[in-house]
Amino acid sequence: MRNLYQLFMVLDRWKRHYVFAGLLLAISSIIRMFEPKVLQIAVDGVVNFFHNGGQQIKTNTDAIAQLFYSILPEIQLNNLGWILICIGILFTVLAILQATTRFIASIITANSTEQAVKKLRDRLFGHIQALPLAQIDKTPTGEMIQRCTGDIDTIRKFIGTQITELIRLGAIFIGAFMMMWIVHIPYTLISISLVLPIVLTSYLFFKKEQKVWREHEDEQDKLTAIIQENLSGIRVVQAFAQEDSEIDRFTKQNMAKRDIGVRHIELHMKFWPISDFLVNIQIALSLFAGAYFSLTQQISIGEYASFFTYSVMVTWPMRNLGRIVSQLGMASVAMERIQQIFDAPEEDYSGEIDSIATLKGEIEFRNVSFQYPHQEKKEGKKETTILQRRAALHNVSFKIAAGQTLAIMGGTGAGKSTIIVLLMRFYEPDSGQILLDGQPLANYNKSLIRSKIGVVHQKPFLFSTTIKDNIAYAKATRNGSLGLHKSTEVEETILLEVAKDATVTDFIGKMTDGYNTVVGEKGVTLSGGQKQRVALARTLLSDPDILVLDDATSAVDTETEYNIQQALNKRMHKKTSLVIAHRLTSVQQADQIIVLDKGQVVETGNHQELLKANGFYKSVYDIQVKIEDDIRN
Amino acid sequence: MATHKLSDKEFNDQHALGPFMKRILGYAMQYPRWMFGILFWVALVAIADAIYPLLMLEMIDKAVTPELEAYKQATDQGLSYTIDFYNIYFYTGIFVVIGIIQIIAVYFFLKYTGRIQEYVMYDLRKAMFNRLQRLSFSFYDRSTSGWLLTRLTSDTDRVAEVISWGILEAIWGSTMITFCLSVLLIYNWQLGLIVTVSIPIMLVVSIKIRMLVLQYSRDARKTNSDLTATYSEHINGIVVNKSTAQEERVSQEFQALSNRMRGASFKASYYTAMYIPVVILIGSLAAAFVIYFGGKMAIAVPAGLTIGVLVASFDYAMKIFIPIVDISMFYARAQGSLSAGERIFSLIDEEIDIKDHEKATAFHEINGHIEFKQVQFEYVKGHPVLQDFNLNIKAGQSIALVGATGEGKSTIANLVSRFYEPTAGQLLIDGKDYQLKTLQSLRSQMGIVLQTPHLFSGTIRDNIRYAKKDASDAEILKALDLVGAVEFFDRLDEEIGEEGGQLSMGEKQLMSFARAVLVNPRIFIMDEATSSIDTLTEAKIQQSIQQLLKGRTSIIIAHRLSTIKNCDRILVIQKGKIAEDGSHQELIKKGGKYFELYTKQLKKETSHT
Repeated sequence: MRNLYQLFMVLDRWKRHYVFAGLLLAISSIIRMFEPKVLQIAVDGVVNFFHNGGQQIKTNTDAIAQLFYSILPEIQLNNLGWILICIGILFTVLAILQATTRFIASIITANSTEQAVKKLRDRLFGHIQALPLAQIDKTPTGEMIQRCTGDIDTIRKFIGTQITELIRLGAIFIGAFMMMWIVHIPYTLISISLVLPIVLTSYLFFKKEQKVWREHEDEQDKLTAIIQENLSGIRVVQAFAQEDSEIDRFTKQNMAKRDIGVRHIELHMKFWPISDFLVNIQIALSLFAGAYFSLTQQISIGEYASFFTYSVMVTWPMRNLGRIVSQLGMASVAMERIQQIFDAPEEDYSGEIDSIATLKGEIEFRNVSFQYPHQEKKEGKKETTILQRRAALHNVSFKIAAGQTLAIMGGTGAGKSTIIVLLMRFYEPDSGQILLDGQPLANYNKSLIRSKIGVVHQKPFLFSTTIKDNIAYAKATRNGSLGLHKSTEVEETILLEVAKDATVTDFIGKMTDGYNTVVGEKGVTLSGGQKQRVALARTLLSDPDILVLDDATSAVDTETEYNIQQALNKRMHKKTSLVIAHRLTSVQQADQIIVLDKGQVVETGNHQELLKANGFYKSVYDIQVKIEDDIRN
Repeated sequence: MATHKLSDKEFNDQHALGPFMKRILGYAMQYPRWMFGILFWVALVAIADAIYPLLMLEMIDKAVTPELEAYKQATDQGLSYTIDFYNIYFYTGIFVVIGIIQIIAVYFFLKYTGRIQEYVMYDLRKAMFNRLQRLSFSFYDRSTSGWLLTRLTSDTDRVAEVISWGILEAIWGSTMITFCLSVLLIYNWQLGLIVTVSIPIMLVVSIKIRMLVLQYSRDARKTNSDLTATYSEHINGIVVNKSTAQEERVSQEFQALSNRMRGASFKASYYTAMYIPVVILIGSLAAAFVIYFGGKMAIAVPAGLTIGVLVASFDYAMKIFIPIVDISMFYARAQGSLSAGERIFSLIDEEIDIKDHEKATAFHEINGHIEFKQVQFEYVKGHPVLQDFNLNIKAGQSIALVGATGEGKSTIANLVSRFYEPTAGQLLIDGKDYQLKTLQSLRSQMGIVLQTPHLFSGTIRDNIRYAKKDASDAEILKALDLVGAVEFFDRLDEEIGEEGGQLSMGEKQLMSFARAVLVNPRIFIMDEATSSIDTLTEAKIQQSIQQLLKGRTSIIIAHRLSTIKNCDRILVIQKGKIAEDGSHQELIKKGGKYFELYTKQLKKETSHT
């Protein structure tokens, strides 16, 4: 029920438009109902009139028929041809009216639907952008994208076609019902006697449809995931000659998808004949009853003809109920899947300190402990992920004075990146405190912190746009044609400057279009090192008060790394830097080095001090020296 | 390297429809019983649908009117008349019988159509997936995975829909029209003619409007793929948005794109909205003529037609648009899925350029002697990467390939792995041309470690025994031990997440080493496998590599001196030629390119220590 309500809420402020369009459609449908009346007039008023030798047959003509009679010229035996022409014109006028109203109603519906869906899309996108990272990590990206596109489209189709259809059919039902009611009450009641059982079966069908469709979508998702994984790892598949076992794995899921598809259709196979049977019985009942009533002269032949048309019309909504209900089932499943995203609360950015010119850059961790939250698996079982078991922090304390450089070392999973994640407030520490310029970090607005701290990751994400727009990403303007990534406002000189510092200049010449080369799936794919350099330029351009390098130059060669370091030394001269690195060359000049192991700080000091300490740092140093010695012999 | 990428083509060609339908029909006809079942039962439903007005006509003319007249005559003459209900019972009975036949028919056509849809989807996906497994690297060089995925998902759905529900619409529509017209023409050819004339008009108008809708839907779809790409980018890249506090700006800008989508989508809806009213209008005009001419005929002396025929003709004229809508729907569906079909079939037909020769025999235990004999290779025609390339690697030797990017190092390794085949010349393994041997027997004796260590979702255990599904834990531990990855010993059951996202690069690389070693390969290939790992991991691998190379032929591509120094032979590759060849000592002594490279690298690696 909640899904249906949410679905209704999607209509948003265009609800009135749907009602208006629905009313127009109702008018259109009512006009369509008059059309058989026109035939009735031709039959009763002209043909039977003629055969009766100019005598009106006594029938209890209803209001509509009387209205039509009054529009037409007086019917006499000598002007019947003219009358027939007039009837033809009347009919045509009705048809045009009917078509026009229907057209206008459809246009209004289409317009409102596109508006409402656009709003839903925008809302969803905005919501996702505002979700905490912890939440995003939980959902596989493919699934998320499927919901944003496929499920939205299902909803679009539903509200675009079925809502007004529902109103239209409702109008037809009520209209036809009233027309019959005017003519003959017992006949009318017989003509709708099976409505209740039909509605009931439809409801049961709706329930089943929802369930089966949900399973269908799940199997489909799984199949897509398998194909996706296979395609991205195809080189490994072939390298290990595992094509056949991949085909087996795929075939199993392909079969599962086929089976659920067949089960879905089996549900329809059961429902439709039952529903059609009931509808047919209903029509047979009306047919029989109508014949009986006209034979007993309670209604005229003409009335019988139009009455029968009405009674078939009354069954239309019943016949279509199943289809609408089936679509409603799918749409409500889609809504449910989208709603799950909406249900996740947005990240709370607020903080007392929400504007500040520059950070001094003093950072302190005081007994900070943190563990990644448990993830709920589908079966409700708690899953311990690798990330969670490791990468935790236990009582971590350190302090960086403003303008200093801190290097963090440690093996994989020691918790190095976790420090950054906490500093950026993507997660909050379980206990302990982080201070920035002497203030608790929690007092700062999150956006503020993030725009003042520049982070470069080991595996940076670049957008599939030009290199230039990627560098200018954080300084992009808000408008622009499509405006997704615009860099017009960034001055060329500044851009070149950061590109030079990040040594992007070293390889840009080899790119086909220089800074305008498009990177990404369909463009040129940059090497890991090149990506890191572009990402570095991007971060430098935003001129952060604190620079964080998370193994950010791991894929560039040593000479380039050296050049980058020189440039950074100049640039970050009086600013705080935090460097995570594996190579000693990258860390040994830091003012302070901390070594993490299993989430704990095990060593602190500068290069000389740590060498003396003879711990982890020294062992890494030894290894490196040994490797070098080996090379040298 | 590969210049032209596969890209989407739009198919508007009228002539493409025939071959496409024929091809897809071939898939459906693998289930002839179901296809004929659809044909039979749908035709039956259509006839039943068409019979209703006829039945109404018969009932009025044959049952109600005569009785009514007899009754009237009797009362006029002052006699009493008992109404004979026999005919009415009879017709109502027929009505019920037809109703029952119809629901049986509905049951069966749903069954068969649904099955055809699901089974054709299954078969298409299967054919594509199987083909994808066999296609060589050169195919993957020019197609992106997202592009391929679409073929197996939405494109397949569309095409299967045409051959199932589309066919159903077409059969239903044409049976209905044929039947209605025949009946009308038999009863009264003049009125029948009026309805007949309206049909081609409706069809032409239908197809015109449908094609407009199709055209705008295509525009909308294009915008939609931009939209999907944007979603994908900004979900995948959300860390960037958050780290740079750009969430709001991006959301704002998304709205512009979203609005473009709205516009494109509305245009298509606009013509859709126009369609039904226009067609109904044409049908109504025909109905108006039926009233006029029918009325005229009915009041002629002698009467040209009965009221029943008039009522039925009117009904047919008003309803004839329904089958037209269905037929044009089928046409539009078929047209709309042409390009999807083209994409699917071009994939299924994509030639497998590396496959087993008919008389190929299997390699038994490979010794590991590899010989390039005047090998030529080009990714793009006319731009050879290797030319007259000769290289002899003795069994058990370890070879390091060094040189700048793009000089042909990876090409040499990929040729040995037979990911590509020489465009000219021969590559001999153990003295036999490997093109005369089976791929499976070659690759199953090779261990390959690539630069990006792609892992699959599943546990660590699953990943390590990837190439040998039935490997025991003891074997897995041995492989891990060999590569020095003892840290994984007690973690075999850990799930590594989507593409191993939970692991660090070093860990992934260690796992991919273990995976390659598990099968005890005769030929071992490392392509830049150590370039992105940290010092600690490097140190670990450093020690294990010596172990790994023992007793097998190895080809190693690396930048790091530590990795290559101990190889038996080092080859400096330049522009597809072997510039220098010898051991580390020899090449250093020689003082040539390697020496230059080595000293430069050494300086880099140690200068700041």
